[in-house]
Amino acid sequence: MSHSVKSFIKLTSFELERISKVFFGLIGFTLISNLIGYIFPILRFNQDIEEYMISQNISVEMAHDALGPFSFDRVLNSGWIAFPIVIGVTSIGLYALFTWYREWFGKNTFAYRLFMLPVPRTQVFFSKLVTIYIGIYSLIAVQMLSVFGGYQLTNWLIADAVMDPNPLISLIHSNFLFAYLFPVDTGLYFTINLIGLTGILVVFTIILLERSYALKGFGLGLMYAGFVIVLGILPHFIGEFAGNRYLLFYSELMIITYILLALASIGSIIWSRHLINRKITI
Amino acid sequence: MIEVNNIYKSFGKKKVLNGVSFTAVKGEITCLVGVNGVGKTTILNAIMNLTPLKKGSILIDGKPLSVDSYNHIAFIPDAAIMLPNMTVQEAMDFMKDYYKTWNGNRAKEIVKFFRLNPSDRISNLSKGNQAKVNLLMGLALDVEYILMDEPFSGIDIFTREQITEVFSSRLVEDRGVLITTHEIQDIEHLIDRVILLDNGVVYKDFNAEDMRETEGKSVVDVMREVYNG
Amino acid sequence: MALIFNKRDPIYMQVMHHFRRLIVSGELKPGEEMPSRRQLANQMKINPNTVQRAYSEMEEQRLIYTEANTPSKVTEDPDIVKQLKKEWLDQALTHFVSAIDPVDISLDELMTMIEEKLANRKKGN
Repeated sequence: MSHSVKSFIKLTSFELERISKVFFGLIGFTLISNLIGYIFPILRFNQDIEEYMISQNISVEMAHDALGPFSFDRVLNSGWIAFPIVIGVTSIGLYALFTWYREWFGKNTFAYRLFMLPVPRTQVFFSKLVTIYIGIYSLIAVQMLSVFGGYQLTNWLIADAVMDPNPLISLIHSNFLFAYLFPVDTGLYFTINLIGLTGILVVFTIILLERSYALKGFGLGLMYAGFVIVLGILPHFIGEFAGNRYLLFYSELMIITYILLALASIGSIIWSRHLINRKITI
Repeated sequence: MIEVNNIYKSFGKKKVLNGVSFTAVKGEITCLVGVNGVGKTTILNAIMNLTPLKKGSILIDGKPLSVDSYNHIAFIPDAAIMLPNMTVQEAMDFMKDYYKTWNGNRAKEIVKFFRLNPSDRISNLSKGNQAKVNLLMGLALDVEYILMDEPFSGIDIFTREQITEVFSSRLVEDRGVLITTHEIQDIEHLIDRVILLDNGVVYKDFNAEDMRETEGKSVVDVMREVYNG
Repeated sequence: MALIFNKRDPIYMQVMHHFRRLIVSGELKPGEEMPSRRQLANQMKINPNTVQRAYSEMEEQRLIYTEANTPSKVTEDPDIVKQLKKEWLDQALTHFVSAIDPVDISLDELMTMIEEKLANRKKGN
């Protein structure tokens, strides 16, 4: 293995170690919250049935018929599932800032050490990026496994006769959050991930601009972010400008958007590389 | 040789370095002297490519700084720079992981010399001992040049004595040492060359021993002339 | 070897002075090994290049000599030591004479005083 590959792996595992507390905390929080989310609606359902039975003085089967089957959708739509996802996304977003600023404003100025390592500084940049991505996808994977596990658990706790027969996949398909998180719709999944990647790279660029040119750099960074956003939505107005809404097929429109976002990502990397190598101030 | 050629640097409207040039050579201890805010730290940061310059160039053994240069030149800043939750041993292991010039035996020697305990957590160390850890990280590298920023600031007198001893020891033997300080009296006898900075330029650049021999002036005498006259 | 250095005289000359004294007094014997340059710099807390300069100068004056790959040694030439002692006394006397110059005193009186001082010094020892 070449020296630089080795140092990149070392740097990345070092960064992972530093994120690990936050990361395992998020996983723990997700799993506990989800577990509550799996069990609580079932207890509630059983309680409802029982109360209905008593109040109407009817049999279990009649109560089931009257109240309808138990759908896993209830679980998926509960706050116990959505809340940890929102927390996870927010934490990862904040970590994208924290991963840089901690080097300057921590108790000790680790930025000195990091930028004096005999490895290309772009490796520091990419190790932080890869660490964030490992964090994101691991959290998504945990969430996915948790949902499958939760579905099994529900099946086990609820009698077959009372369980909504809709398969899990179709429930996930129709769920607002999971449509973005899980690769159920390839096109949408790709779009979301490309937007995410571009977003994080732009945030990194803004941070490095701020670290290089202070407040002026931050202003410049915001302008750059605005420019990238305009770039991303511009293709969708081409038709409007041309006076013909049907000028392009939707797929063509998306390809143009993808190309522009990819260019913004590459541009951000090139600019960041220049800043981190030549302009940054410790 | 470290060559600083006509460098300029401003912070906002404030011009800090206004065409500074000097050299620091192997086997000598060169001391950048000047009052606070004169840009001494900025010069060291610029040599290590930790801050961009407006103009001018810096060469190390004839070459501009590159990634490989960090294997030839070490910088010991005036701030703790390893992670506070690392132990001294972990900090050494970190260095060993990335620097092919890390010299484990010398590191052990320095740990003993400074009476550091490898299992101590950096955040639990006194300011003086944190400064020693910083020195350890730089001195244990087999590099040709060592830069130190204010190695004596804010530490107790005993630590100061120990650090002073470093300068006449094998630890810096044959290396080029460039240090900044605003309190020179303790190390007057230890340095070869003095570079006095004032108003963003090199006001005087002289060999301390030659100054004593030809003009009968101590380094402090020369400084007094510059800053009071 | 705690030497207090004067800040305005070249350190290498002060180091040489120190060794001349040791040789004149016989504390450093002919042929005795000198401390290594690094060792001395570390002991005296001075710059190793300064020690190097003092040693080179002393070599030039043949007060010490260095053979390849061995530590420097004090000269074994009795003439040089004799010459050194002579110079040392000469310098001391020059100082002395110029120091007492303002005082009007006869040689006999002076001799008595010197004898007294020397006797006191020996007692002190």
